[in-house]
Amino acid sequence: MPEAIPNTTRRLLRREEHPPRNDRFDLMNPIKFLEPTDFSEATALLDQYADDAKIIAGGTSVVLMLQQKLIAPSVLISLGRIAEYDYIRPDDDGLHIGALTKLRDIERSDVVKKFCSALAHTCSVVGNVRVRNQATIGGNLSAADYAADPPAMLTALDARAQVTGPEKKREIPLGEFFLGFYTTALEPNEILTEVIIPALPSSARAAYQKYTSISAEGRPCVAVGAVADFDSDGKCLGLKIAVGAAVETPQRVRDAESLAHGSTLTDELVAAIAEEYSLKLDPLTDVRGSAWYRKEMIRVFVKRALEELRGDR
Amino acid sequence: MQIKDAFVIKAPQDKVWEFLFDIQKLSQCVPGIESVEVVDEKTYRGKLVVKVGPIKSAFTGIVTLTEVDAPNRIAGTVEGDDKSSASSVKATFTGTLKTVDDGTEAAFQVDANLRGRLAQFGGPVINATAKKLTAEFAKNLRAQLE
Repeated sequence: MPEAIPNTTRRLLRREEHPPRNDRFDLMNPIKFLEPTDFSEATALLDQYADDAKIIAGGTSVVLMLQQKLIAPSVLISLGRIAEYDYIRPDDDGLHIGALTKLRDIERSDVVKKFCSALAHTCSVVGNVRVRNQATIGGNLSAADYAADPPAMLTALDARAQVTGPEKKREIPLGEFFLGFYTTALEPNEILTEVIIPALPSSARAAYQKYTSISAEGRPCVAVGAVADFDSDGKCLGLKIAVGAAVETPQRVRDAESLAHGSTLTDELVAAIAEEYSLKLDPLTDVRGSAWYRKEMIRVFVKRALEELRGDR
Repeated sequence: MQIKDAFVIKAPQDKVWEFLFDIQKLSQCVPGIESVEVVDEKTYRGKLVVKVGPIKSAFTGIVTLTEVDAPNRIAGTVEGDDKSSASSVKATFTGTLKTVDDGTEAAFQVDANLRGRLAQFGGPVINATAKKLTAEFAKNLRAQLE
Protein backbone atom coordinates (compact mmCIF):
# COMPACT_ATOMS: atom_id res chain seq x y z
CA MET A 1 0.00 0.00 0.00
CA PRO A 2 2.23 2.85 -1.19
CA GLU A 3 -0.23 5.50 0.04
CA ALA A 4 1.01 4.83 3.54
CA ILE A 5 4.34 6.41 2.71
CA PRO A 6 4.38 10.16 3.31
CA ASN A 7 4.80 12.11 0.07
CA THR A 8 8.09 13.71 0.96
CA THR A 9 9.54 10.38 2.00
CA ARG A 10 8.38 8.83 -1.23
CA ARG A 11 10.11 11.58 -3.14
CA LEU A 12 13.31 10.89 -1.26
CA LEU A 13 12.97 7.21 -2.03
CA ARG A 14 12.37 7.75 -5.75
CA ARG A 15 15.99 8.09 -6.52
CA GLU A 16 16.00 6.96 -10.12
CA GLU A 17 13.79 9.87 -11.22
CA HIS A 18 16.21 12.39 -9.82
CA PRO A 19 19.77 11.68 -10.81
CA PRO A 20 22.18 12.56 -8.01
CA ARG A 21 23.27 16.16 -8.26
CA ASN A 22 26.47 15.37 -6.46
CA ASP A 23 28.13 12.37 -4.91
CA ARG A 24 26.94 13.31 -1.44
CA PHE A 25 23.44 12.54 -2.55
CA ASP A 26 24.53 8.95 -2.84
CA LEU A 27 25.39 8.66 0.81
CA MET A 28 21.82 8.55 2.04
CA ASN A 29 20.58 6.15 -0.63
CA PRO A 30 19.15 3.69 -1.08
CA ILE A 31 16.88 3.80 1.96
CA LYS A 32 14.99 0.66 2.73
CA PHE A 33 11.44 1.46 3.82
CA LEU A 34 10.01 -1.15 6.16
CA GLU A 35 6.43 -1.20 7.33
CA PRO A 36 5.88 -3.50 10.28
CA THR A 37 2.28 -4.08 11.25
CA ASP A 38 2.75 -4.30 15.01
CA PHE A 39 5.13 -3.02 17.65
CA SER A 40 6.80 -6.36 18.38
CA GLU A 41 7.78 -6.59 14.72
CA ALA A 42 8.99 -2.99 14.82
CA THR A 43 11.17 -3.52 17.88
CA ALA A 44 12.56 -6.72 16.36
CA LEU A 45 13.53 -4.71 13.26
CA LEU A 46 15.11 -2.06 15.48
CA ASP A 47 17.10 -4.79 17.17
CA GLN A 48 18.18 -6.14 13.83
CA TYR A 49 19.27 -2.90 12.15
CA ALA A 50 20.33 -1.05 15.32
CA ASP A 51 22.07 2.24 14.45
CA ASP A 52 21.31 1.99 10.73
CA ALA A 53 17.59 2.34 11.30
CA LYS A 54 15.36 5.24 12.22
CA ILE A 55 11.76 5.07 13.31
CA ILE A 56 9.40 7.25 11.34
CA ALA A 57 5.82 7.99 12.38
CA GLY A 58 4.32 11.29 11.14
CA GLY A 59 7.67 12.18 9.67
CA THR A 60 7.59 15.89 10.54
CA SER A 61 10.91 15.62 12.32
CA VAL A 62 12.63 12.67 10.61
CA VAL A 63 11.91 13.85 7.06
CA LEU A 64 13.28 17.31 7.87
CA MET A 65 16.46 15.76 9.16
CA LEU A 66 16.68 13.53 6.09
CA GLN A 67 16.24 16.49 3.78
CA GLN A 68 18.89 18.43 5.64
CA LYS A 69 21.03 15.30 5.48
CA LEU A 70 21.64 15.41 9.20
CA ILE A 71 20.84 11.73 9.36
CA ALA A 72 21.58 9.08 6.78
CA PRO A 73 19.83 5.89 7.89
CA SER A 74 19.90 2.93 5.53
CA VAL A 75 16.57 1.72 6.91
CA LEU A 76 13.41 3.61 7.81
CA ILE A 77 10.98 1.71 9.99
CA SER A 78 7.60 3.28 9.42
CA LEU A 79 4.92 2.96 12.07
CA GLY A 80 2.27 4.03 9.56
CA ARG A 81 0.76 0.58 9.18
CA ILE A 82 0.52 -0.20 12.86
CA ALA A 83 -3.16 0.07 13.61
CA GLU A 84 -4.85 0.54 16.97
CA TYR A 85 -2.33 2.94 18.44
CA ASP A 86 -4.26 5.98 17.34
CA TYR A 87 -6.63 6.38 20.28
CA ILE A 88 -7.63 8.66 23.13
CA ARG A 89 -9.12 6.61 25.93
CA PRO A 90 -10.25 7.86 29.33
CA ASP A 91 -9.81 5.31 32.09
CA ASP A 92 -10.12 5.26 35.89
CA ASP A 93 -6.42 5.99 36.30
CA GLY A 94 -6.32 8.77 33.75
CA LEU A 95 -6.17 9.49 30.07
CA HIS A 96 -4.42 7.10 27.71
CA ILE A 97 -3.24 8.47 24.38
CA GLY A 98 -1.84 6.10 21.78
CA ALA A 99 1.59 7.08 20.49
CA LEU A 100 0.36 7.32 16.90
CA THR A 101 -2.38 9.82 17.71
CA LYS A 102 -1.97 12.98 15.64
CA LEU A 103 -1.58 16.27 17.49
CA ARG A 104 -4.54 17.57 15.50
CA ASP A 105 -6.75 14.80 16.90
CA ILE A 106 -5.71 15.63 20.47
CA GLU A 107 -6.37 19.31 19.81
CA ARG A 108 -9.90 18.57 18.55
CA SER A 109 -10.84 15.74 20.88
CA ASP A 110 -13.81 16.40 23.15
CA VAL A 111 -12.49 13.76 25.53
CA VAL A 112 -9.19 15.65 25.88
CA LYS A 113 -10.98 19.01 26.19
CA LYS A 114 -13.08 17.59 29.00
CA PHE A 115 -10.14 15.91 30.71
CA CYS A 116 -7.78 18.89 30.48
CA SER A 117 -8.53 21.70 28.06
CA ALA A 118 -5.01 23.11 28.52
CA LEU A 119 -3.60 19.95 26.91
CA ALA A 120 -5.86 20.37 23.89
CA HIS A 121 -4.77 24.01 23.75
CA THR A 122 -1.10 22.99 23.92
CA CYS A 123 -1.49 20.70 20.93
CA SER A 124 -3.41 23.40 19.06
CA VAL A 125 -0.47 25.83 19.12
CA VAL A 126 2.15 23.43 17.74
CA GLY A 127 3.60 24.58 14.41
CA ASN A 128 0.81 24.92 11.90
CA VAL A 129 -2.22 22.84 10.98
CA ARG A 130 -0.35 20.87 8.30
CA VAL A 131 2.27 19.85 10.84
CA ARG A 132 -0.37 18.93 13.42
CA ASN A 133 -2.27 16.82 10.90
CA GLN A 134 0.86 14.76 10.41
CA ALA A 135 2.84 14.85 13.68
CA THR A 136 2.12 12.21 16.31
CA ILE A 137 2.34 12.66 20.06
CA GLY A 138 4.74 9.73 20.33
CA GLY A 139 7.00 11.20 17.69
CA ASN A 140 6.90 14.63 19.27
CA LEU A 141 8.08 13.26 22.62
CA SER A 142 10.59 10.76 21.19
CA ALA A 143 12.27 13.44 19.07
CA ALA A 144 12.97 15.30 22.35
CA ASP A 145 13.28 18.60 20.54
CA TYR A 146 13.71 21.20 23.26
CA ALA A 147 11.78 23.83 21.28
CA ALA A 148 8.49 21.95 21.38
CA ASP A 149 5.18 22.58 23.14
CA PRO A 150 3.79 19.26 24.46
CA PRO A 151 6.77 18.24 26.64
CA ALA A 152 6.36 21.11 29.15
CA MET A 153 2.59 20.66 29.52
CA LEU A 154 2.80 16.88 29.79
CA THR A 155 5.64 17.10 32.33
CA ALA A 156 3.53 19.43 34.48
CA LEU A 157 0.67 16.94 34.17
CA ASP A 158 2.99 14.21 35.52
CA ALA A 159 2.44 12.13 32.40
CA ARG A 160 4.20 8.83 31.86
CA ALA A 161 5.53 7.30 28.68
CA GLN A 162 4.77 3.66 28.14
CA VAL A 163 7.55 2.16 26.05
CA THR A 164 7.71 -1.23 24.39
CA GLY A 165 10.90 -3.18 23.90
CA PRO A 166 11.46 -6.61 22.39
CA GLU A 167 10.85 -8.33 25.74
CA LYS A 168 8.79 -6.09 27.92
CA LYS A 169 6.83 -2.92 28.35
CA ARG A 170 7.79 -0.33 30.93
CA GLU A 171 6.69 3.11 32.01
CA ILE A 172 8.94 6.13 32.31
CA PRO A 173 7.72 9.30 34.05
CA LEU A 174 8.23 12.21 31.62
CA GLY A 175 10.32 13.93 34.30
CA GLU A 176 12.90 11.18 33.71
CA PHE A 177 12.23 10.65 30.01
CA PHE A 178 14.06 13.65 28.56
CA LEU A 179 17.79 13.34 29.14
CA GLY A 180 19.08 16.19 27.01
CA PHE A 181 18.94 17.74 23.56
CA TYR A 182 17.28 15.19 21.26
CA THR A 183 18.10 12.48 23.81
CA THR A 184 15.60 10.34 25.72
CA ALA A 185 15.68 7.47 28.19
CA LEU A 186 14.48 5.13 25.41
CA GLU A 187 16.79 2.18 24.87
CA PRO A 188 17.93 1.79 21.25
CA ASN A 189 15.40 -0.99 20.70
CA GLU A 190 12.45 0.60 22.50
CA ILE A 191 9.54 2.53 21.02
CA LEU A 192 7.16 4.86 22.84
CA THR A 193 3.71 3.32 22.55
CA GLU A 194 1.41 5.25 24.86
CA VAL A 195 1.23 8.43 26.89
CA ILE A 196 -0.61 8.14 30.19
CA ILE A 197 -1.82 11.25 31.97
CA PRO A 198 -2.89 10.57 35.56
CA ALA A 199 -6.45 11.52 36.47
CA LEU A 200 -6.85 15.06 37.75
CA PRO A 201 -9.09 15.93 40.71
CA SER A 202 -12.20 17.76 39.53
CA SER A 203 -11.02 20.86 41.37
CA ALA A 204 -7.72 20.96 39.50
CA ARG A 205 -6.89 23.55 36.88
CA ALA A 206 -4.24 23.54 34.21
CA ALA A 207 -2.74 26.19 31.96
CA TYR A 208 -0.29 26.38 29.09
CA GLN A 209 1.49 29.60 28.23
CA LYS A 210 3.57 29.75 25.10
CA TYR A 211 5.82 32.61 24.15
CA THR A 212 6.92 32.82 20.53
CA SER A 213 9.63 35.37 19.84
CA ILE A 214 9.93 34.80 16.09
CA SER A 215 6.74 35.23 14.13
CA ALA A 216 8.09 33.29 11.13
CA GLU A 217 8.05 30.00 12.98
CA GLY A 218 5.81 28.44 15.56
CA ARG A 219 8.45 27.22 17.94
CA PRO A 220 8.31 28.48 21.51
CA CYS A 221 11.00 30.65 23.06
CA VAL A 222 9.54 29.82 26.46
CA ALA A 223 6.89 27.18 27.19
CA VAL A 224 5.18 26.98 30.56
CA GLY A 225 2.83 24.20 31.61
CA ALA A 226 1.16 24.59 35.00
CA VAL A 227 -1.26 22.43 37.00
CA ALA A 228 -2.73 23.22 40.40
CA ASP A 229 -5.39 21.84 42.68
CA PHE A 230 -7.45 24.11 44.91
CA ASP A 231 -9.70 23.48 47.92
CA SER A 232 -13.14 25.07 48.28
CA ASP A 233 -11.63 28.21 49.88
CA GLY A 234 -9.34 28.71 46.91
CA LYS A 235 -6.25 27.58 48.76
CA CYS A 236 -3.70 25.80 46.61
CA LEU A 237 -3.29 22.12 47.49
CA GLY A 238 -0.51 21.38 45.06
CA LEU A 239 1.25 23.12 42.22
CA LYS A 240 3.36 21.83 39.37
CA ILE A 241 5.01 24.08 36.83
CA ALA A 242 7.26 22.82 34.06
CA VAL A 243 9.23 25.23 31.92
CA GLY A 244 10.38 24.02 28.53
CA ALA A 245 11.92 25.39 25.31
CA ALA A 246 14.11 27.83 27.26
CA VAL A 247 16.09 24.98 28.80
CA GLU A 248 17.49 21.69 27.55
CA THR A 249 14.67 19.56 29.00
CA PRO A 250 11.44 20.60 30.76
CA GLN A 251 12.36 21.74 34.26
CA ARG A 252 10.43 22.05 37.49
CA VAL A 253 11.62 24.05 40.50
CA ARG A 254 10.27 22.20 43.54
CA ASP A 255 11.18 24.96 46.02
CA ALA A 256 9.13 27.43 44.04
CA GLU A 257 6.20 25.03 43.65
CA SER A 258 6.08 24.35 47.38
CA LEU A 259 5.69 28.07 48.12
CA ALA A 260 2.10 27.73 46.95
CA HIS A 261 1.09 24.84 49.21
CA GLY A 262 -1.75 25.79 51.50
CA SER A 263 -1.87 29.38 50.30
CA THR A 264 -4.08 31.48 48.13
CA LEU A 265 -2.39 32.58 44.91
CA THR A 266 -2.10 36.25 45.75
CA ASP A 267 -0.28 38.69 43.47
CA GLU A 268 2.70 38.64 45.84
CA LEU A 269 2.87 34.85 45.88
CA VAL A 270 2.55 34.62 42.10
CA ALA A 271 5.38 37.13 41.71
CA ALA A 272 7.53 35.24 44.22
CA ILE A 273 7.07 31.91 42.43
CA ALA A 274 7.79 33.48 39.04
CA GLU A 275 10.89 35.13 40.47
CA GLU A 276 12.11 31.83 41.89
CA TYR A 277 11.71 30.12 38.50
CA SER A 278 13.57 32.92 36.79
CA LEU A 279 16.40 32.71 39.34
CA LYS A 280 16.78 28.95 39.54
CA LEU A 281 16.65 28.03 35.86
CA ASP A 282 19.69 28.31 33.65
CA PRO A 283 18.27 29.09 30.19
CA LEU A 284 20.03 28.62 26.88
CA THR A 285 20.84 31.07 24.10
CA ASP A 286 19.66 30.42 20.55
CA VAL A 287 18.00 32.28 17.67
CA ARG A 288 14.82 32.66 19.70
CA GLY A 289 16.46 34.59 22.49
CA SER A 290 19.48 34.98 24.73
CA ALA A 291 19.81 33.40 28.14
CA TRP A 292 19.28 36.77 29.81
CA TYR A 293 16.17 37.50 27.75
CA ARG A 294 14.75 34.07 28.48
CA LYS A 295 15.25 34.53 32.21
CA GLU A 296 13.09 37.64 31.97
CA MET A 297 10.50 35.87 29.82
CA ILE A 298 10.37 32.88 32.19
CA ARG A 299 9.41 35.31 34.94
CA VAL A 300 6.69 36.86 32.78
CA PHE A 301 5.22 33.61 31.49
CA VAL A 302 5.29 31.67 34.76
CA LYS A 303 3.38 34.61 36.20
CA ARG A 304 0.87 34.51 33.35
CA ALA A 305 0.42 30.75 33.74
CA LEU A 306 -0.30 31.22 37.46
CA GLU A 307 -2.74 34.02 36.71
CA GLU A 308 -4.47 31.72 34.27
CA LEU A 309 -4.71 29.03 36.96
CA ARG A 310 -6.20 31.63 39.26
CA GLY A 311 -8.79 32.45 36.62
CA ASP A 312 -7.62 35.96 35.70
CA ARG A 313 -6.90 35.09 32.10
CA MET B 1 31.53 29.94 19.21
CA GLN B 2 33.50 29.59 22.38
CA ILE B 3 33.70 26.52 24.58
CA LYS B 4 35.39 26.84 27.96
CA ASP B 5 35.68 24.29 30.72
CA ALA B 6 37.97 23.16 33.51
CA PHE B 7 38.33 20.26 35.89
CA VAL B 8 40.65 19.12 38.66
CA ILE B 9 42.56 15.85 38.70
CA LYS B 10 44.08 14.57 41.90
CA ALA B 11 47.54 13.96 40.46
CA PRO B 12 50.77 15.96 40.21
CA GLN B 13 51.04 18.37 37.29
CA ASP B 14 54.04 16.64 35.70
CA LYS B 15 52.27 13.33 35.67
CA VAL B 16 49.14 14.81 34.11
CA TRP B 17 51.21 16.57 31.44
CA GLU B 18 53.11 13.43 30.63
CA PHE B 19 49.90 11.46 30.29
CA LEU B 20 48.21 14.05 28.10
CA PHE B 21 51.23 14.15 25.82
CA ASP B 22 51.22 10.43 25.25
CA ILE B 23 48.84 10.53 22.32
CA GLN B 24 47.85 6.87 22.53
CA LYS B 25 47.00 7.10 26.22
CA LEU B 26 45.22 10.39 25.69
CA SER B 27 43.11 9.13 22.84
CA GLN B 28 41.85 6.29 24.99
CA CYS B 29 40.34 8.87 27.32
CA VAL B 30 38.64 11.03 24.72
CA PRO B 31 35.10 9.74 24.18
CA GLY B 32 34.38 8.88 20.55
CA ILE B 33 37.95 8.81 19.18
CA GLU B 34 38.09 6.07 16.56
CA SER B 35 41.62 6.47 15.33
CA VAL B 36 44.59 8.69 15.84
CA GLU B 37 47.96 8.80 14.16
CA VAL B 38 51.04 10.90 14.59
CA VAL B 39 52.02 12.75 11.41
CA ASP B 40 54.98 14.51 12.99
CA GLU B 41 55.69 15.72 16.49
CA LYS B 42 53.39 18.70 16.16
CA THR B 43 50.75 17.28 13.87
CA TYR B 44 48.19 14.57 14.52
CA ARG B 45 45.46 13.12 12.38
CA GLY B 46 42.38 11.55 13.89
CA LYS B 47 38.75 10.56 13.61
CA LEU B 48 36.15 11.49 16.18
CA VAL B 49 32.58 10.22 16.28
CA VAL B 50 30.08 12.41 18.11
CA LYS B 51 26.47 11.49 18.70
CA VAL B 52 23.70 13.92 19.58
CA GLY B 53 20.37 12.18 19.82
CA PRO B 54 19.59 10.75 16.39
CA ILE B 55 22.47 12.50 14.69
CA LYS B 56 25.82 10.86 14.41
CA SER B 57 28.72 12.68 12.86
CA ALA B 58 32.20 11.44 12.18
CA PHE B 59 34.83 14.14 11.94
CA THR B 60 38.21 13.46 10.45
CA GLY B 61 40.71 16.16 11.06
CA ILE B 62 44.16 17.40 11.72
CA VAL B 63 45.41 18.87 14.97
CA THR B 64 48.44 21.13 14.77
CA LEU B 65 50.22 22.31 17.90
CA THR B 66 51.45 25.88 17.63
CA GLU B 67 52.74 26.34 21.14
CA VAL B 68 54.04 23.84 23.68
CA ASP B 69 55.22 25.10 27.04
CA ALA B 70 55.77 21.99 29.16
CA PRO B 71 54.23 21.33 31.63
CA ASN B 72 51.95 24.37 31.64
CA ARG B 73 50.36 25.32 28.40
CA ILE B 74 49.63 24.20 24.86
CA ALA B 75 47.93 25.92 21.99
CA GLY B 76 47.01 24.77 18.54
CA THR B 77 44.51 24.56 15.75
CA VAL B 78 42.06 21.91 14.62
CA GLU B 79 40.68 21.53 11.13
CA GLY B 80 38.25 18.82 10.32
CA ASP B 81 35.21 17.83 8.36
CA ASP B 82 32.31 15.42 8.43
CA LYS B 83 31.48 14.24 4.94
CA SER B 84 28.08 12.75 5.68
CA SER B 85 26.59 15.98 7.02
CA ALA B 86 28.78 18.23 4.85
CA SER B 87 30.02 20.12 7.86
CA SER B 88 33.44 21.42 8.67
CA VAL B 89 35.09 22.86 11.71
CA LYS B 90 38.02 25.19 12.18
CA ALA B 91 39.12 25.88 15.69
CA THR B 92 41.92 27.25 17.80
CA PHE B 93 42.43 25.97 21.29
CA THR B 94 44.52 26.57 24.35
CA GLY B 95 44.94 24.24 27.27
CA THR B 96 46.59 25.02 30.57
CA LEU B 97 47.62 22.98 33.58
CA LYS B 98 47.98 24.57 37.00
CA THR B 99 48.95 23.05 40.32
CA VAL B 100 46.19 23.59 42.87
CA ASP B 101 45.71 22.41 46.47
CA ASP B 102 44.29 19.01 45.69
CA GLY B 103 46.04 18.22 42.42
CA THR B 104 46.12 19.76 38.99
CA GLU B 105 43.58 21.98 37.36
CA ALA B 106 43.19 21.43 33.65
CA ALA B 107 41.47 24.23 31.78
CA PHE B 108 40.82 24.67 28.11
CA GLN B 109 39.26 27.14 25.77
CA VAL B 110 38.20 26.44 22.21
CA ASP B 111 37.18 29.04 19.66
CA ALA B 112 35.44 27.06 17.01
CA ASN B 113 33.91 27.98 13.71
CA LEU B 114 31.47 25.30 12.64
CA ARG B 115 30.07 25.45 9.13
CA GLY B 116 27.65 23.30 7.20
CA ARG B 117 24.52 21.47 8.18
CA LEU B 118 25.50 20.71 11.74
CA ALA B 119 25.96 24.42 12.40
CA GLN B 120 22.20 25.00 12.28
CA PHE B 121 21.93 23.23 15.59
CA GLY B 122 23.33 26.34 17.11
CA GLY B 123 25.39 27.04 20.17
CA PRO B 124 23.31 25.50 22.97
CA VAL B 125 23.28 21.98 21.55
CA ILE B 126 26.96 22.06 20.69
CA ASN B 127 27.91 23.55 24.05
CA ALA B 128 25.91 20.93 25.92
CA THR B 129 27.55 18.19 23.88
CA ALA B 130 30.99 19.65 24.58
CA LYS B 131 30.21 19.77 28.30
CA LYS B 132 29.11 16.15 28.26
CA LEU B 133 32.22 15.04 26.37
CA THR B 134 34.44 17.01 28.75
CA ALA B 135 32.84 15.44 31.79
CA GLU B 136 33.34 12.00 30.31
CA PHE B 137 36.93 12.81 29.38
CA ALA B 138 37.64 14.04 32.92
CA LYS B 139 36.13 10.89 34.34
CA ASN B 140 38.28 8.68 32.12
CA LEU B 141 41.36 10.71 32.97
CA ARG B 142 40.69 10.39 36.70
CA ALA B 143 40.30 6.64 36.34
CA GLN B 144 43.76 6.51 34.79
CA LEU B 145 45.61 8.99 36.98
CA GLU B 146 44.08 9.11 40.44
